[in-house]
Amino acid sequence: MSQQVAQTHGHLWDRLCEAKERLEPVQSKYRVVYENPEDLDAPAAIMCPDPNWLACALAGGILPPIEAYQRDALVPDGEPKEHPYAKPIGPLTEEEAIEYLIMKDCPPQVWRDYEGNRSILKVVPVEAIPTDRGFRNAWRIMQ
Amino acid sequence: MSTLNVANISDDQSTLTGSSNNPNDKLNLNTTVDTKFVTSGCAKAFGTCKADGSLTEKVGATLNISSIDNLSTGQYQYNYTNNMNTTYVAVADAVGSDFRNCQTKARNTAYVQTSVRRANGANNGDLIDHANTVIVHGDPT
Repeated sequence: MSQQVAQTHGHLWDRLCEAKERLEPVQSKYRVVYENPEDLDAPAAIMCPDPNWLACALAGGILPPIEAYQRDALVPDGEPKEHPYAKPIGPLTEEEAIEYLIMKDCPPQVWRDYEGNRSILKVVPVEAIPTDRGFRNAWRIMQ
Repeated sequence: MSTLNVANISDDQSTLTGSSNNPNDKLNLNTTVDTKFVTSGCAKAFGTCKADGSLTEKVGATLNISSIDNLSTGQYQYNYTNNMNTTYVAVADAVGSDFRNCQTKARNTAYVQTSVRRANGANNGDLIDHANTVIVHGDPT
């Protein structure tokens, strides 16, 4: 099946290479701040979307559906994965792209499985990230 | 985008000065390669981030990277857009400073983590924020 699909819209990696030539990078105005509930001593992590990736998300026709990544997470390493061959999704808004990125790159225990009452995930504007990094290892999400 | 189909790539003997008669010239010993060695050998993911984990919008700064997580001081995670088919990819980490070093902390098919540390002075070995680059060779899944 994967070979047939690949003939219609190509492999994801090829689409990324083609898009890099064609699209202007887009710097996001958001950052994702999260704490991993499985590592209580770790400070809050800051996720920054890649400008080339964001350009692909906004343009559409390049990235696979997020469900393909989620199904692939259950497939053992070395076995064929679905996401490189899945039919690409259409254009996203920047906000939708950030949601997509959270589901793709944040651990599931942060955005899906957490049942506590602390806020452990926030999408914030870039200006909300402190520029003084003197106490970076003590950063926590303000409740 | 157009596609050029080429089975083999051969170097041009005429551009190698005096090499055709020199049996010790390493360049002259293997003059033709299958293009699969070229396409398989190129980097499948790379990225350069600033000290705070943010990315430059300059064209060419990243390939096959969806985001970068700044996990803590000096610790960065590069997430792939197209995952690798194995954990055992070749990763090169680099940091542009004489007094810092950079090493792979962890890797799997979805991301690679890198750490930047001081390489001199009283706090030698401590993690420190610094711009860094990661280059990944392997096969996308």
